[in-house]
Amino acid sequence: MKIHPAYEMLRPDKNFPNVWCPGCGHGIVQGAIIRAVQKLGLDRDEMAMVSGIGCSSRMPVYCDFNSLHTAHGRAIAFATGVKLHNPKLHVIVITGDGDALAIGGNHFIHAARRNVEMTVVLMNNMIYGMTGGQYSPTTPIGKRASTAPYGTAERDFDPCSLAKAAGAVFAARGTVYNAAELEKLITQALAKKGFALVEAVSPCPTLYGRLNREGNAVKMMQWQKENTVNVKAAEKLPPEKVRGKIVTGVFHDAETPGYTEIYDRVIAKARGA
Amino acid sequence: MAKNTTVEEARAAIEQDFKQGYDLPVYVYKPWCKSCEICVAFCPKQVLEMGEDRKPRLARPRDCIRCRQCELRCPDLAIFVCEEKAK
Ligand SMILES: Cc1ncc(C[n+]2csc(CCOP(=O)(O)OP(=O)(O)O)c2C)c(N)n1
Ligand code: SF4
Ligand code: SF4
Ligand code: SF4
Ligand SMILES: [Mg+2]
Repeated sequence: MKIHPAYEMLRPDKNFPNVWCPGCGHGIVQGAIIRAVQKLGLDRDEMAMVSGIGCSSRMPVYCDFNSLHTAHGRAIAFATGVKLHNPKLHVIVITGDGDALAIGGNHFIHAARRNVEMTVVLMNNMIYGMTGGQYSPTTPIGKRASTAPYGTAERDFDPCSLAKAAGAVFAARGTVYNAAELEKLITQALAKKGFALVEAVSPCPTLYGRLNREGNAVKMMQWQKENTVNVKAAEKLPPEKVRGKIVTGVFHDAETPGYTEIYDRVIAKARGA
Repeated sequence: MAKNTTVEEARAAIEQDFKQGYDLPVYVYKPWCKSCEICVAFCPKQVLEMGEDRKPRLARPRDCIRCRQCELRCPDLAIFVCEEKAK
C-alpha cells in the first residue's frame, strides 16, 4: 500500500508534527515544494534549501535536503555563496516577507539584478509571524499589526513587480488555497536558469488573522478562494474589479544568462582560454 | 492534541493499519493532525467530518472521488489518498 508520498522527503530523525500553528499556510507551501521536487525527479542530494529566520524559515528543519538555516534576512546572501561554490546544486531559498523584503531587501534586489540561479519561495503572510505580529513591507495599508493597532500608514511592496524590475527571469504568485497551481508555479521556477521568485500567499491565522478579524485558517482560505483572479483574466478586467484581490499566475518569464554561467566565462578568460 | 512521532514511527503505524485491512479511500494519521479542519472544509464531496476526537473521519467514503484536494491542502501531511484496490 502507498503511504503519503511526501514522507520520503522528510528528515527521518525529526519529530512531527511541525512547529507551525494549526492551519498555518507554511505547511501547505512545504507540501507543494516537495511535490514539485518529486515531479522534476530531482535527487535530494542535488538540492540545497537555504533559509533565514522566521516561522517560514523553519522549513529546512523538516525537509531532508542539503540545508542551511542562516541569519535573519541573509538567506539569499548565503544561497549566493552556495550556488557559486557548487553551481550544480538546485538552490531553493525559503523566506518570509520580513526576511526577504525588510531586513533582506538589499540581498533580494541584488541577487535578482545579478540573476543568480536560485528559486526563491517567499511565503507572504503580510506580517512578522515569529516575533509577534509586527507589520512588514507587505502588510497592506490600513491593516492592523501588533505595531499598528490602528492600521499601518505604509504602502506595501508587490514582490513580483520588485523582482521583475530588479532583473529576475521569473516572477509568479500562487495561494495555498490553490495548492495545485502553487505546485505548478514552483515546478516552473525550479526549471529556470536564473533568479526565479514564487510568492506564496500563506495565511497566518494566529496573528494576522486574529489582529485583522479575518477568522481562522478555513475562513482565510475561503477568502482566498473567493478573491483570487488569474493574471490573464485580470488583464482584461477594469482596475477596480481587481483592486483588493490576489492576482495569481506567471507575471514575468524571460531567458537571460545566469550569474554562474557568466562567471564561468570570466574564469575562462582569466585563465587565458 | 497532536502527538510527536518520527516519520519512521508514522510509517510503521500506517503499515500496521493497512495490514489489518484498512480499506477506506483516504487515510488520516491522527498523531500529526492539528484539527485545523481545512481538509473537511474544502472536500468537494463532503466526504469528511470532524469526529468527536477533533480529527477528520470519513463520514461518506463512497462519495470520495480521490481528487487529493485534502492531501494537497493539509499543512501537516497528516491525510492522504490511498492506492485504489485492483478490482
Ligand atoms: C538580525 C535580526 N533582527 C531581528 C530578528 C527578529 N526576527 C526574527 S523572525 C523576524 C521576522 C520574521 O518575519 P517573516 O520573515 O515574514 O517570517 P514569518 O515568521 O512571518 O513566516 C524578526 C524580525 C532576528 N532574529 N535577527
Ligand atoms: S505565528 Fe503565524 S506564521 Fe507563525 S506558525 Fe503561527 S500561524 Fe504560522
Ligand atoms: S480525495 Fe477529494 S473527495 Fe476524497 S476526501 Fe479528499 S478531498 Fe474529499
Ligand atoms: S487538514 Fe490536516 S491537520 Fe487539518 S484537520 Fe485535516 S488532517 Fe488534520
Ligand atoms: Mg511573514
